[in-house]
Amino acid sequence: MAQRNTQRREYWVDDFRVEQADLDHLYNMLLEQETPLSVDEMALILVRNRVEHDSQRPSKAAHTPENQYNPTREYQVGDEVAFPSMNFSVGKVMKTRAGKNPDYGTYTVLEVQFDKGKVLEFASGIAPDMLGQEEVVEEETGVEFPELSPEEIFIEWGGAVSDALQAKLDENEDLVRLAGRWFPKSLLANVNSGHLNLAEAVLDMNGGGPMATAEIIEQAGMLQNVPERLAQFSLNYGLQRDDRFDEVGPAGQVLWYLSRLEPAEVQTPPSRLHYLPISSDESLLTTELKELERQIGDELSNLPIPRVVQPPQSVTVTLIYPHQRSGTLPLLPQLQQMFPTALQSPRIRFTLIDHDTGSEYPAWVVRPGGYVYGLADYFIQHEIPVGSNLTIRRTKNPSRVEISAGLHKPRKEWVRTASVQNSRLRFESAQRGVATEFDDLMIIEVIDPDAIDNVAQRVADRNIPVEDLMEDIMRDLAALNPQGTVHAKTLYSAVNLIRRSPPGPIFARLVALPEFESVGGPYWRLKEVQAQS
Amino acid sequence: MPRPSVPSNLVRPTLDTQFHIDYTWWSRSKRDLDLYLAQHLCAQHREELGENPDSQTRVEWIDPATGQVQDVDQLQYVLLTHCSLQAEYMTERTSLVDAVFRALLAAGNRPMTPRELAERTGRSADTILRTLSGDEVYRGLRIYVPET
Repeated sequence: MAQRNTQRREYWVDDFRVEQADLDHLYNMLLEQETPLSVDEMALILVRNRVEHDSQRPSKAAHTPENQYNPTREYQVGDEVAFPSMNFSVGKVMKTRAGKNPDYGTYTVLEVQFDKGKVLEFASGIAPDMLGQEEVVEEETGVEFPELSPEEIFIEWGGAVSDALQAKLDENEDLVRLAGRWFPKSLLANVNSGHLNLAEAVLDMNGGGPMATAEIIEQAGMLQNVPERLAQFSLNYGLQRDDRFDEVGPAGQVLWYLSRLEPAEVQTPPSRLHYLPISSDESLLTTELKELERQIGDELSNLPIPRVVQPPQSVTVTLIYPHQRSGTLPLLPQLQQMFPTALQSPRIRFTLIDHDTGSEYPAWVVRPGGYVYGLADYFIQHEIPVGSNLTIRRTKNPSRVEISAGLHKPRKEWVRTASVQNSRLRFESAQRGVATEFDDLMIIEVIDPDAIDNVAQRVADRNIPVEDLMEDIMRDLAALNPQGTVHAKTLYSAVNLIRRSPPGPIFARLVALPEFESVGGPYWRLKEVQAQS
Repeated sequence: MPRPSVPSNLVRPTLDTQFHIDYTWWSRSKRDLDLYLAQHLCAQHREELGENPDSQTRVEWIDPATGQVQDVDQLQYVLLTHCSLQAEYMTERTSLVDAVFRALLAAGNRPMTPRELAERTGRSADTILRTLSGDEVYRGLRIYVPET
């Protein structure tokens, strides 16, 4: 038995083109269901429709070269004939009569009846030179093919159908895409400025959001006569086009927030995260320093993005001062897998759960700024020092993420403290109660954050070179241990108190500048210290 | 139960949408189709048939592509079997609407997409699409809606 067209790979992959009839059918489905559909859902509908139509056609087995219509052949009443010009529809010859036009010589006219009673006339027995008709070549393979269901076809070749359909949908100005679903603009419910003002009022009364579209509709009591899904899609379309509203839901969820009520730090990155690029030749970095930079994982480092097969269940980051002061976390590549993502939204609202207390904090992924905002209260409540190791874990709900600082009863630890004396940053070593897990090379307790910020501001205003800051800081830090050495990681953490910098420029300066000397491994000292000792 | 077809005004025509000559448009708009068809005759037949061709006599025409037999009037018959085969039937000077009309006429009004019409008329498919999909219907050239 010959294989149907829709059972062939070439049909769906090589020769496939979205036809107007496909779009008509999809429009019908959208119209009937009043439900926006994803491109894959539409592709499957298209495949089902094509397969259904193909199966309704007489299969090629039903017509053989013997019964395929050819106007030069003779046919008898009762013959069943397949017509190539009609997709091989088979019709039955009901009557015959002599042809009336002498221009064609002698011929017979067949009255042919098709399904649903449709009757058409065709010529037969006409001299071959009277019509310049192309011969239809029949394919008969004689090979049996197992028939694939539309779903199996979709699994096999649906990707090509989806791609072709996507391109066609993109071209179509009447179709609107929201959160990965499509719907005809002309069929959307009318959402006017009155509806949008109502939505603003509802969000305002709810602290700005986030609110699902269905909640807004319910509280505003609008679009009541419109089917639920269509009402939501239509309102989403209206809200998306209005700057007053920001879509902040993770992938798969549409949640709205009033832009003017979003925290300022979500709209604009906190000042302490601002990085004024520092030129450096990072090819100078030793393998050890490069590995150290990779371990630190600063979001500003130009590190290769790890190839992630499956998002990790948890990621640990060591807190540096700019993030501690801003109440943020860096949006590292590994963390991007952990925090909720969205198809289009640049800002995503989610909930951070304190693993130790169960407290919940509203938080935001700010993708353009590369940070997560909303941890200030968490840091203050637990007195999280710079250098703490924070572990972020996924939960089953993508919009809820757990955070843990490994809290325990405060233990007396010797830690570095940073303070400001005579407008200069000074470090000392002191015993403090620390309740978090921490990296002892990066931990620093900041005595007076406002004073530190003032120094940072002065450094920025005077554009003090980073190497000068390194030298000054290193002199103080070196005095805290008998060998007079400083670990590169410690220097990185300390410099970031007053100037935002990834490790690369700091490490490159350690290698390049004569005032710094390696004493083995990642430890460095000032040459003048050696001279004095 | 068959699904109702989508109202055509909801469907944005594309380069793959089929168009045809809607002869009912001519009868509804009370325009003289024969007069317009006569403009497409070649010089020889314009002279032979004159300004008032016989539209009563029906002639059997066999579509060479499909073998289907149709009754057409004498004017259409000479257009289909002779005039449309002449070199001057479609030239650069033929207006776009006339060219599309002539292309469809020569094919026995078999519905065609702007891409197919572009091949036969030498005009841009996009221009054909824009012309035929506007609010105004020119010479009965409309989207083809197959019978359900």
